[in-house]
Amino acid sequence: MPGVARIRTLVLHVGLHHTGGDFLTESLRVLRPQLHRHGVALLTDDDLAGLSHRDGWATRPDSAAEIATDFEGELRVVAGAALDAARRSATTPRTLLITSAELSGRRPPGLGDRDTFRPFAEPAIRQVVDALDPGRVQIVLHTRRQDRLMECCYVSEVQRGRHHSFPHQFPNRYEPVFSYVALVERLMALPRVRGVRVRPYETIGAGTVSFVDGFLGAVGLSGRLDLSDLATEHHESSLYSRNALRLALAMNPHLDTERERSLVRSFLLEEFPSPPYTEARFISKKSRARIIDAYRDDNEHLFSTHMPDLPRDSYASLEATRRLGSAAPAVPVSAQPFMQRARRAAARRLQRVRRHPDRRE
Amino acid sequence: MDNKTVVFHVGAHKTGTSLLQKYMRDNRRRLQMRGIYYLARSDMNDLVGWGRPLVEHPEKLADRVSDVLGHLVYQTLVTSHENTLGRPVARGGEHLYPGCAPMIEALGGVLAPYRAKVFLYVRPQVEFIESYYLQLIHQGNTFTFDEWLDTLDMDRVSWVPLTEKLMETFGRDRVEIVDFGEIRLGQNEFIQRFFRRIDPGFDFEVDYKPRRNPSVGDKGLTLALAANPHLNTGDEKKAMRVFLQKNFSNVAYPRPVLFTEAQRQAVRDRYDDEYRRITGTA
Repeated sequence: MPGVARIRTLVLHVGLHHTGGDFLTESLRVLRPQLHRHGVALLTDDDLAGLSHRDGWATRPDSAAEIATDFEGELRVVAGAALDAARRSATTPRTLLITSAELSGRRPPGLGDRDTFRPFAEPAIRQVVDALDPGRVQIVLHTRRQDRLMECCYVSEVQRGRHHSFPHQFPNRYEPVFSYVALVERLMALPRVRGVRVRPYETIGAGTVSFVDGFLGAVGLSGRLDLSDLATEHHESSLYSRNALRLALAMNPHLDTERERSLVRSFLLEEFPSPPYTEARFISKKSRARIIDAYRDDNEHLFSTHMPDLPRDSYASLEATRRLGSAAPAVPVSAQPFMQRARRAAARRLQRVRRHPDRRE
Repeated sequence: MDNKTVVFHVGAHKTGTSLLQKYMRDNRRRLQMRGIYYLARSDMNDLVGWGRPLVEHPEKLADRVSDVLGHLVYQTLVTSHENTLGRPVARGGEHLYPGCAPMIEALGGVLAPYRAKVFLYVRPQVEFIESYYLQLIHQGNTFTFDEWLDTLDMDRVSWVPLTEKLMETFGRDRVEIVDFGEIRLGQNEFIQRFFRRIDPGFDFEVDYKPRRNPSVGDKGLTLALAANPHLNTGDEKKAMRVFLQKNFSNVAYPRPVLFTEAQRQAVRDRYDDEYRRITGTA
């Protein structure tokens, strides 16, 4: 397959659901030409969505093993096309960046995670690595405090037309089943994986530009791209508000077809958006504290081991997590080199003018 | 003023009043050319409302009618306001419009100086009660049909006391009771017949295509009953109403089954004869 054999580094953004993956993907799409110029080819969920044998990807319990080989072939084709596109801008693309929520499993965290957190992350990643045969693999994982992660995943299931209860989806919510530490260790143990870069989603509160710039560190491009075209605001607008959730739970049991579910979903998102309606936070204060407490030790270990630059108690309370959203620098990291470059250019112009005062610019 | 005519279309609810009102609103100029002034529904909200403004300040409506008909150009004033008779099917009522008497009396006083014609369109009780129930749910109520039906005395849903009161007040020859079943002839014919009843000379072609306002289908009703308890504001209720009308109407889904067949038959047995008598239908 053209280009695939030349992948030196495969960077996999294992986009856990509700950790800013859509926003990041949209940003990367905007940055694609710049990524190409720096030798980074990009594959997003959109590129993978069109694969006719996608069901052969081992991202869920009922994936079709008999078409796994077909999926891998198609994956090589789209990866080759992505590398070819990058090659037109750079002499030799050295990195392929794949960002997809499915790398951690197709279904959002829920009942299927009651024994192991993201049980399909390993087979899904292993299959991609085997198919593309890169020199080395780097994984990027965004985390989110478990109570909010569960809350968002529940809302998104209701958005899909379900109407079960929160405890039904998360029967083990007070046990530290959603262990990021264990997940990182499992990912690290995969063949050819050289490192897992872990960052908390909540830092997006400090600025979308710095969030994207931080992510670009995974491909060695932090501070090197022009991020001025990126959206500066990020709302989880595609999630139901509290009112919409209440209405959906009442209406969903009466919907029979996907068309009906889609109509209701669009209506509720359009007429009851958050803001101005309140965000769907429905876990009681007491239950939230219990969930946070259940994960305290594990999360402290996560921060001290994998994110030593951040306070180890960042997931230990609502207030501590909120501080993550204000800890990043106010001036976008990416803006700094451009400002420096602009200052240097101005200084050069000044020098030229001093040397040749009669020459017009 | 005795050569001037006032036509008052008093309802009932769910009998094509919106269609007639929208036609007259959209064809105001055309009607004016025939000497007809349409006193708009929006004005009637202030002058008549649900009856109280009419009973307490009949002079406001009287002044308005006098102003219009004082104009040489207008020979006929037509208005249509289904809330004139108050709220229908009210709990504990003696008949379908239990609170209508004071409104009819006040209206009688207002129209006394003129040649008046009063129109009341009616439909059989089964259809009327079902249709009005759907409107109540449309407005955001949450009770089931059976719960609502439990509050009604089906021996007291006759049209007769209302029609008798109208005739007693305005005179038999000035009140016309019309079967809403005419709508089956098509809405243009329905409108045309309304004007021919006012004056056989008003025999003009009607070609009107208003935006349809379909009622909800069975699934729309189920969804409304599920969602309504969670709607807090008028805007939310309106948004839900429009959504359900657009996507879950009886055009795409079966009509809701409300009365059982036995209930339906019982009501028919009780009221069909008098219905035929008051509307003159076979």
